[in-house]
Amino acid sequence: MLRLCLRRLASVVPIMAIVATLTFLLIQLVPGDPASFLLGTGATPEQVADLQATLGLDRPALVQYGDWLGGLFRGDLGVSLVSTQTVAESLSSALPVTVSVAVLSTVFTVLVGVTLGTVAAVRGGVVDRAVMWTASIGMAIPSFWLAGMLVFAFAIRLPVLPATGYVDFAASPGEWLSHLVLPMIAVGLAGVGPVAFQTRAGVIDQLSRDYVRTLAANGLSRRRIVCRHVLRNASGPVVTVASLGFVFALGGVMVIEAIFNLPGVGTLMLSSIRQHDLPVVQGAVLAFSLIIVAVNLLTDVVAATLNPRIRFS
Amino acid sequence: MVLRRTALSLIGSTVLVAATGCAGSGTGGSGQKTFTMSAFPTGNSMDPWKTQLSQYVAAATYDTLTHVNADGTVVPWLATSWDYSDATTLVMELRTDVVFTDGASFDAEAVKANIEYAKSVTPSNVAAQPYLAYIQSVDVVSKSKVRFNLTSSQPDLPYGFSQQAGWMVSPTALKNPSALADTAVGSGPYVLDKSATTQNKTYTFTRNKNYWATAAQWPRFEKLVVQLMTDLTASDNAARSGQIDYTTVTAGTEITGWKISEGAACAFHGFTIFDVEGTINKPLGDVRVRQAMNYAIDREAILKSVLGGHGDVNASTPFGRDSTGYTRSIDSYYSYDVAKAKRLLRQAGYPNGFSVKVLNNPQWDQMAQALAGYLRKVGIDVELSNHGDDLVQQTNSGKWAMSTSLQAVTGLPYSDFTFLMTKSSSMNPLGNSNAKVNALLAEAVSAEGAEQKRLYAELAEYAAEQAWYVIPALSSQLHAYNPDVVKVVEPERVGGPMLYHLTPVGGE
Repeated sequence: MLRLCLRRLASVVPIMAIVATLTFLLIQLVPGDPASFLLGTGATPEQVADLQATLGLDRPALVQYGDWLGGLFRGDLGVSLVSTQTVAESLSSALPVTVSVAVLSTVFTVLVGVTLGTVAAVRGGVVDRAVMWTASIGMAIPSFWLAGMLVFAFAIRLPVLPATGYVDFAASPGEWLSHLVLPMIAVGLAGVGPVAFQTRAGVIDQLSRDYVRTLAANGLSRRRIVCRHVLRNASGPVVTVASLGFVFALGGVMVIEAIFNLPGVGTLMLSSIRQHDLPVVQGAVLAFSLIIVAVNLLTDVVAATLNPRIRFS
Repeated sequence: MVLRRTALSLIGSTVLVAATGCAGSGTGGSGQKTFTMSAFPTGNSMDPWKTQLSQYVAAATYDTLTHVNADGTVVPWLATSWDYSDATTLVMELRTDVVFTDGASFDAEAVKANIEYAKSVTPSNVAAQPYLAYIQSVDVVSKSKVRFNLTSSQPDLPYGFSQQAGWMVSPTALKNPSALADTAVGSGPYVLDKSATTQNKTYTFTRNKNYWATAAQWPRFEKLVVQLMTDLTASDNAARSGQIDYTTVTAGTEITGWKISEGAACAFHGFTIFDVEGTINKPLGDVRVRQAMNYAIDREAILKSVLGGHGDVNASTPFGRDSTGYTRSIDSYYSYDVAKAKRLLRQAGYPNGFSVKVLNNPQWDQMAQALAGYLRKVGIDVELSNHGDDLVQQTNSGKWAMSTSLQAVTGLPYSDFTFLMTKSSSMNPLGNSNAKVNALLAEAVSAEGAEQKRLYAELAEYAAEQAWYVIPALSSQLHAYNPDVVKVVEPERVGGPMLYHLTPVGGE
């Protein structure tokens, strides 16, 4: 297991180097420059040039890249051009929001998807078809439309959940959760279908195995067999699908953060792009990449734990 | 059966736990002691001289030298009185009982420190610069008296001091301005609660217990929460679900139990013709062509369809119904007359029209598309070129003949014409100047009473005739609020209520 983790960790370094380089290069292609944005219309070319010099934007791109990369190795992501806050500070307040939504929506996806898939596989017949139809419909609903409907239903018509905003977990776990329930469903619902389909196929496959018959012959209840043995053996592909769901959720939170007015990385990135606050954009992209790499690593570890053959392959 | 129960409980538990955990804590709306409002994000520093902060965020912690009433009159605040000793010298008397939250005193030295810092800091609050540019120097006459030496006449500087050019920051804090990135050190009615604030998202303020103004002068809430929202749907949802008590809304919005108020028509929104000399696009250099463009648009129809009927028809002149010298006849200077537009184009030598590329902000696409549609009907082929990310850079580049624009008109004709039709205008990248506009402005600013009105009326008509713009209407902003929580002084001659126009129902 340790070797697997080390091998995966070693692959993170070149991946992050490529992401960092691509991020920097792509941002150079964005039209406009921060100095013009900050100075507004009517600024003279001299004023723009002065500010560019102050911000260090007049240096060749390679020099800027070298500086940025050097800072990165020292753990310094730079300073926002607009707020003069450090990028690390900006990200530290935004990341918990985005990660909260992504983690909760993944938990929701797995919980609901595994439950539906298991029910469909075990019950079969009409229940199976009904569950699979429902899961398919869930996959087809766009998250931004669902978000609007959820707000209308549970925040306006039946005011039990807040329509917008975020409360820190440390400030009030209850309010933290209540503010994230609707975003969680809006982001997570689309992932329920794939997880349910994968679970259903896995459970049906496992239920036909000999060990299930042996366990039943030994007097174990069907519930115990399914929950303790079948689900565990069927969970390998589900973990992979769930991790993909997490990555999908991270992408989805960009839109969802705007609808629910959540101060997450998506919102931060969007406002930074609008304000040409390049260090923050670079930091946010890097943070996203790091999370995705970490989740992939975690997925490998979980899959290896569930299936020892992976560890030795 | 057991499995089904497990499944249902698994599915339901997530939602139910959360719902029971939150009911009544996050959705109940604010009481009268707490006022929660939404506002558009602008800058993300608490230094009001470095960035254009949301007006409500800035006004919570920083006082301005003057205030502006709902009827548009400028009234004392930190400055108790003022007088122009001559056209280029403004003397202000200041309050002597004001202390900043860091203990520093507000006095003439503080005003001088603020103005000097505001004029030199980079980047700077672009909304403050048009007025600050007039101030050549500041003299401390005494502790309570300050003198502004101006570069040229600017009779509206007291108004400017009620807006973005009037914030007063502690002079001690200005010595270490980097600390102002996330800390506000003003003398305002509220103090920033940093622990409950997420910068550029949610700002929480509590009442400033040592505030100099009495409850009668400015009744305040115990707690003020300003939530910055970019998405109008999000603010609309927050309003409908009772999370906020005040927001700006779009035309046609109705919220049960809420009141909608309409600000004065002050958004000068449409096409700006940069190239009035015709150096980039030759036809635009001919006044008849620019006039044809104005005859080609149906102002009433655009006002109704694009602006939801909220605003006043405008003849492409920065002159509103509250402007000194306004007469109704100016509104109908350009009738919707396609035949006349075509005739003018023919006379100018463009019987088949011409093509023009317009710098466009995608946010204003609805207006741009409407205007382009009308212009195409008379043969003017408008190609809209979207530049959302680099709009400022493109505007400043000087390579565009026309642009979509949205600029504020204050109703103070000297400022409006100066900021929109002289060389110093921020939306004048080609540096156009019109001798008659300059002469009329110079004459009007030194005139008084009926003569001044007559001169501004003449200027408004001349500006319309010169057609530097294609503006169908001055649009107004709609504001919605919960009347059980907040008392709003309805804006009469201003675009929207200032923070001091939003007070608790039943007083402090």
